[in-house]
Amino acid sequence: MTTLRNLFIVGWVGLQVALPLSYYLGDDRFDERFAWRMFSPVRLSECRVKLVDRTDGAATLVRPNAELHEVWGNLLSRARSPVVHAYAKRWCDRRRDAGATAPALHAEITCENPARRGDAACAGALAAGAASAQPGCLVEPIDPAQNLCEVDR
Amino acid sequence: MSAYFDAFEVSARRLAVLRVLFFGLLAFDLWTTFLPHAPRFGAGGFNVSQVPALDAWLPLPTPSVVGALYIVGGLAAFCAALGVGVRLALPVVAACYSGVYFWSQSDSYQHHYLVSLLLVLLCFVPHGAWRGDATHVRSWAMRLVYVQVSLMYAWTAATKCDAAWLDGSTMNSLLSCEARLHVQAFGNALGWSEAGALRAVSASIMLGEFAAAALVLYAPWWTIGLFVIPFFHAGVEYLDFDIELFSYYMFVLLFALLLPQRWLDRGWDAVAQRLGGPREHVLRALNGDSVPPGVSTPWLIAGATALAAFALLRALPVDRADIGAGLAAAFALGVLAPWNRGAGSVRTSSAIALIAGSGLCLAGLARSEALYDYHRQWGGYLRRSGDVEGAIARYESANAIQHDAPARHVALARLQLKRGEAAAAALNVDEALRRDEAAVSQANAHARSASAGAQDHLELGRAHVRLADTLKFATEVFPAAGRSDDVAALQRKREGHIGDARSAFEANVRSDPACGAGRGELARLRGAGDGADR
Repeated sequence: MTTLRNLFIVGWVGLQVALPLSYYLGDDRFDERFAWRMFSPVRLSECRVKLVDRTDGAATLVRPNAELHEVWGNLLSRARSPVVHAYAKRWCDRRRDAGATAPALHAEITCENPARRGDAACAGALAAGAASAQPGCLVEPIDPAQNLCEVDR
Repeated sequence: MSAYFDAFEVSARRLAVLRVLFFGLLAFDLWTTFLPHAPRFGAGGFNVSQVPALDAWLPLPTPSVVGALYIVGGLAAFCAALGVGVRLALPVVAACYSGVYFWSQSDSYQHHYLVSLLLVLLCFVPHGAWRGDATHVRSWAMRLVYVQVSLMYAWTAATKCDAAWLDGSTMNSLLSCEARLHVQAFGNALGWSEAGALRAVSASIMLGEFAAAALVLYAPWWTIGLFVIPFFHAGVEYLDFDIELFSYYMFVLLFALLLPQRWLDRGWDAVAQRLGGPREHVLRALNGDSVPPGVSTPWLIAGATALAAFALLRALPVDRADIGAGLAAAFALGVLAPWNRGAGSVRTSSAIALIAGSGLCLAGLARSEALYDYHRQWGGYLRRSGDVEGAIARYESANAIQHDAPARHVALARLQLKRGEAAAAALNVDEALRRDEAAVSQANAHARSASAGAQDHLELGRAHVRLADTLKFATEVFPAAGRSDDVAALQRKREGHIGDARSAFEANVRSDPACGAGRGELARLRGAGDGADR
């Protein structure tokens, strides 16, 4: 019993140290759920989110907000990676069910770099776009070249 | 390490304070804040859990199941606060609250995560300790509660050790206009610029949170913590951040966890002196010889209580109220557990608490803003997703709950008009006009009172705009319904209300030149030509 209890305590404290640490050591700055990051600049950073259907070579804009509750739309617009991937999986499965053999969905997500929100050189970077913004002012949390239908299969 | 957790002693009185305050707040929170959010769960057949790897095995949450869990979780929290059936109530609250939290990322508030963790830990506190079997009890789980709170403060401080926080820019973005004025005044008093004051405030918050992490862990410092740490949470409320009841949870937790034992004992004795006698008298009357012993008596009491809880919660105007009512009845049977006890040993006070909790839930919610929001938000989602029938049903429920105040009659009428039901739409517009006019009269009275402030003028302006929008819609609906109302007169009336709205917003800006929200409302009026359709 004591051993079990000690294991529980060690596991609990270990998780409470490891989960936030994994956020800081990991790549995904936009999923702060277990990091105890309150009032963070990430929450204030704005993102431009475009989901693009490239199944037939052409680029057609996908509009998830038309079918999802706005709470999911908000999480997508905050570049919450698990939500982007879950939506992509659903979209790709539906396309396959509809007969598409190789559906292709790409997430073109550009966000203000949370670490440089206060930097005057980065003001208006999102509006200016990646091409004209100073290097480091914007980030792409998900590789836009990645076909999410292949990743999440 | 083992000794650090094993040797931790907590007084039964501290646990009683924690039980009453924390679970009382939780019951209120689940019923009034969480329940209106139930309709978002599983909407559009989409969900992502907090552990996406489990999604393939987890069923899709539904508003009825999530709503039921919030209702029963609230009832269990209410019982736990009163010390009724704590052994069962704690795991039930933990399962309902934490279960829903981990079920869906649509609930992403960090304090919901914290409360979920604390609820799990509190299940491991020896249940006799909640009953007050001994004056002090050793509890490794309570030690872990302190460690958890400390870790939260430590991490939230560590996350602020970066330039984006320390240069004050994050704080600058978070401040409301009113809060900014206070920061400026604080800086001026010390001869600092606004940017300097923001940097100082940001750095002191970071340092204060590190200090909080230490103060919570070390018992001799609890008194300091009790006076210092709540300031952060008071500041959060002052800055008007939308984080639901987080600050209140922290006030309650810090009070219960950090109050020095001698103060707690002194306060306890003072309260016991006043309330102890009557409480004992009531409990003796309820639980003593007043229940006639007999084999069937405990079953009768438990059965009647379960039935009463079911009947009360079944009447709650939510989707599939029977699920929540059924779970509540099962919980009542579990708390009274007649199969575990000797004849006549069912505590009448527990039965009364269960019925009172169910009744409070029904009476408190039946005509509340919370249930109005539940139906209104659900209706809004259904409307946006093209489910006209479903949206109409939800808006009708919302309008029935919002007794006499402006509700969703115009939104309902728009849907009815879309379905070609112009006569029904016109009736709803009539009702909307009646309520909007009453709201304008009420707001007018407030704005003309001697104590009227900027907010009163703002509310009056918004009431005029709402009425103007309804009148605009009336000019479409009444002719479509074949009514002979004078459209030109309706338009003139509408223009009058737009003018009155403008005057009210200007009065708001005059009353509060720095931060008056009337400025934005005036810009919106200009942007819409004369009035915005809302």
